[in-house]
Amino acid sequence: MSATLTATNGHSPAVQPWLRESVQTFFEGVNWSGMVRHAAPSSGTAASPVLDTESLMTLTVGQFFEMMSWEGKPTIGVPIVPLEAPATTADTPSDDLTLDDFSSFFG
Amino acid sequence: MVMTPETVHRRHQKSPKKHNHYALKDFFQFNPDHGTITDWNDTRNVLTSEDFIIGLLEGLQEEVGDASAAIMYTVGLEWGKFDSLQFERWFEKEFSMSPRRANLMFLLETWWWPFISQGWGRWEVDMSDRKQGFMFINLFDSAVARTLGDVGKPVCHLYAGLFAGFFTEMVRKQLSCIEIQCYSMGETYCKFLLGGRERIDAAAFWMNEGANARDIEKRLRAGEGGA
Repeated sequence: MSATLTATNGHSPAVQPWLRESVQTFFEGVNWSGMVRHAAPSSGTAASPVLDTESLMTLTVGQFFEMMSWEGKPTIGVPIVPLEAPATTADTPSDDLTLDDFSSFFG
Repeated sequence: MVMTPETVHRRHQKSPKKHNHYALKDFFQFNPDHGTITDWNDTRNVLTSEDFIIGLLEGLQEEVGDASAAIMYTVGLEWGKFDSLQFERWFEKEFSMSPRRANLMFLLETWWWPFISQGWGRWEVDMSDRKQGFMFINLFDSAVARTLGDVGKPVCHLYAGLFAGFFTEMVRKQLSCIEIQCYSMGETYCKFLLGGRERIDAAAFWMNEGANARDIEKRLRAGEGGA
């Protein structure tokens, strides 16, 4: 036990880059579909790779379009925004609507 | 109606608080010695064939012509008023609660369940326009319409009267009802409009002018047809 502590205390071994990634970035980097993907160039991030013109020319149509963020937002690992509670409309009777409440609607 | 001990529903007596009693063997009690059928709420039931429905409606049509629609509506109206009183009694007994304090949708579903068991069809209540003072009822498998088939006009006047009578008593306001779409017009289900008399008269007028259910809904939602 003490040997282990001594060996690691104050020492920072090379941290693997993926350990520093956010959940979102990590999950986006997973090749979920199992298809061969074009490696992102160093000039861009995993989430938004930037390719130079020459690199673009080497991509297939499929690879090119796969890299587009079509909806302007990443689709994997994005924190789910809580849905806004639908505004109470006249369409849904409230749970506590009684016969007397109902009667009042008929002038 | 006076109930004799022989025709009182025995299963109901045994389990007065049982709510899921709408299966055939639970809901109906056949009294072979008396030649009667009693339902869970001690009401006498009569089994009829489609021939009976056709005979009733066509016979009436032959006797009184177009007034047969008004007669069937009036029959339904009286039935609905009477049934609302019966319903209030058994609802209170079964749920130990006044119908006026119950949740509305629960109350309405509870009212209609016996009708489903008796073969009058399933329904769906559309309350989305209640604040404007009207509502729609969709009826699936109308016993009348499915019997008569496609005759090109609404035929479920009995149901329209039933809804008008029941809601008039329950809401304690004079309400009317009209069928604005019918299985017998080639539609997939029947649709009823319930509301004040002025509105229903307006809907009847629009229908005579050739409006369909969608047109009527649109006009009502636009505020036409009076309050």
